[in-house]
Amino acid sequence: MKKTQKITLNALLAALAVSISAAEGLLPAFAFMPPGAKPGLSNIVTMYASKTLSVYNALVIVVLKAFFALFTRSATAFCMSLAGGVISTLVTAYLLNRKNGRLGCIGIGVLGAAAHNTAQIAVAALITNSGIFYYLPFLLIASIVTGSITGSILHLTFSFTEKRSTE
Amino acid sequence: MNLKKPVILILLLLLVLPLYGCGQNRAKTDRFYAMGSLVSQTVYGADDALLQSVESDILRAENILSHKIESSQISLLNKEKTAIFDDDIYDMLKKAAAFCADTGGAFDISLYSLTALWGFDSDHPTVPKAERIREALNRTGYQNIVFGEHNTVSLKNNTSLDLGALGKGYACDIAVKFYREAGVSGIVNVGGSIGVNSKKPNGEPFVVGIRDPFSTDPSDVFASIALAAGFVSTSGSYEKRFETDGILYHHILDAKTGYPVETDLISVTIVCDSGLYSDMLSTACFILGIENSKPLLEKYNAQAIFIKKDKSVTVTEGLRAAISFYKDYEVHYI
Amino acid sequence: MKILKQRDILVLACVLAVAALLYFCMPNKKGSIAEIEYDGNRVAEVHFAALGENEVKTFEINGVTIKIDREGAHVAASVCKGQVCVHTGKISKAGQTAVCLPQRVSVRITGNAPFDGITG
Repeated sequence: MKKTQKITLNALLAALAVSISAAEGLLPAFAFMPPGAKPGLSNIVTMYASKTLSVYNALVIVVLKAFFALFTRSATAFCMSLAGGVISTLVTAYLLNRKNGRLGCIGIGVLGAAAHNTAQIAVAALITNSGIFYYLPFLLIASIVTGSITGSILHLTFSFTEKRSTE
Repeated sequence: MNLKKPVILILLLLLVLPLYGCGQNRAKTDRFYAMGSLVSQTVYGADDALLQSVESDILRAENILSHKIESSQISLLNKEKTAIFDDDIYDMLKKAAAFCADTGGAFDISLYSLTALWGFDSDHPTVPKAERIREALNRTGYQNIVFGEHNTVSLKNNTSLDLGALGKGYACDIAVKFYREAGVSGIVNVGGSIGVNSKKPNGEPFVVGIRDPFSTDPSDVFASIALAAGFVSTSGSYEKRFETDGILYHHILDAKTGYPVETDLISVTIVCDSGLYSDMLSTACFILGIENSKPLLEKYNAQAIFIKKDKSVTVTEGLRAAISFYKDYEVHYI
Repeated sequence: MKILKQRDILVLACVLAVAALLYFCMPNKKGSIAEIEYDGNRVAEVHFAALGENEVKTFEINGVTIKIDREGAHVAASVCKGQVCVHTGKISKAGQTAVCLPQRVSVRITGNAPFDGITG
């Protein structure tokens, strides 16, 4: 990929990630989930970025998302977004870029979601009290669902773009 | 992959084991309103049917015994001065009347005319005029309770019954009888009267806290008793009371004077093997005071904790091993 | 890259197993929760940890107003005559309960209560 293409892609992905994140912010709270739990669709973007660009690009997008949360919501939202984003990006970037990776997109998506949720609960526990760990089992089960969804969409995206790039 | 099958098997086991292990001795709690208070019961390793049976039996008892329920047998008795009761209730009433005699009338279940006059359960209780108290006193006296044939109970001299001092303990008896018959470990709390059956599944006894009568916080505990079986009830002057013209009137009446009993005690806790007697004894001993309670405690094989207004605590010897103190009150054993 | 391989199923199963384990080992460290009951049935449950710093949750049940914030729960108002529930004040320790008997509404703090029952 040429440099200008890379820059454009970065910018596009960053904007996409932030807007998906903003749209999700409008969703109401779910039962059994702590207030603020979201499907995490913007992670598709960071996962895509860590594979087609690099983990560093993906991390920059994560930081941008976190700052967006800081300005539109609160400092707490900033910490949660940053913690979840960084951990899950590191995990998924590693899994996606392995030479002999033995996991499919769904597996990676689920592990990324699980890592994201666990990191956020840990941060929340530091900020409030350890009682919040009560939600962890429910979040983990949710991460199986959300991770599968994001993983599937990621796979679709890869198929699309791979076809395109062979043209 | 050769690893796959055994790993999946292990994972399935991991999922199933906790479900099984925790289900065996899971605590089940039930809460409902009866006998004028919140009833809470917790059983281990039993099903909802047991909790339901206890709940409906206690409600049934309330519908018979409560003088606040117009359609109850007791209200009928108080109105018509004669009524017929089921076997278990008739037996209980006989025991209660016999207990009144044992206390020399200090404990009396026939004080309804007085308690209705004072109205401690109402929103604005006031001090009744002396003449009205005298007049109400004429309509009290356990000797007026006559037990006849075929489970008939009659009342003489326009006397009426108020079983408020034994209802909670009796409800505990009902619950624990169920637990015992089902062979499960359980604890029931009827507005502060507690009944316990067997140790908890982990081998530990139940720990019952005793409220600090000098604190306004109902969960402020000054001592606790470890119990593997038995019943605990407490009577205190801090429970229902009101103040007028600087004088404090509490709800435990002296059957001779018609006024709140004058005593240096603020609370009495009784531990024995019957809910009914633990409840009755707690009121009786509060009225009689420490010295005069001794023969009663011996007769009913009960243990007691007396707390005086000066914060001194007197405990019967039998509780020495089971009691733990969390506050620095002066304690001596008798 | 494939979408789903055998190993993915394994991953899902592992996450599920961990969630299940956590769920069953956790109840002992539940932390502080306020449970509101009406007629003995649980009507609402609030986890103090899940509340924001100045967040106050208000519940209106059968004429009883209950307010819960980070520090604890209390009965703010009630249609009952005795007002005992309101006078109970704020409760925050595990095992504490504020009850409105006439209206049959109660709010209870659960968590790590050391006593199986309290008499008195």
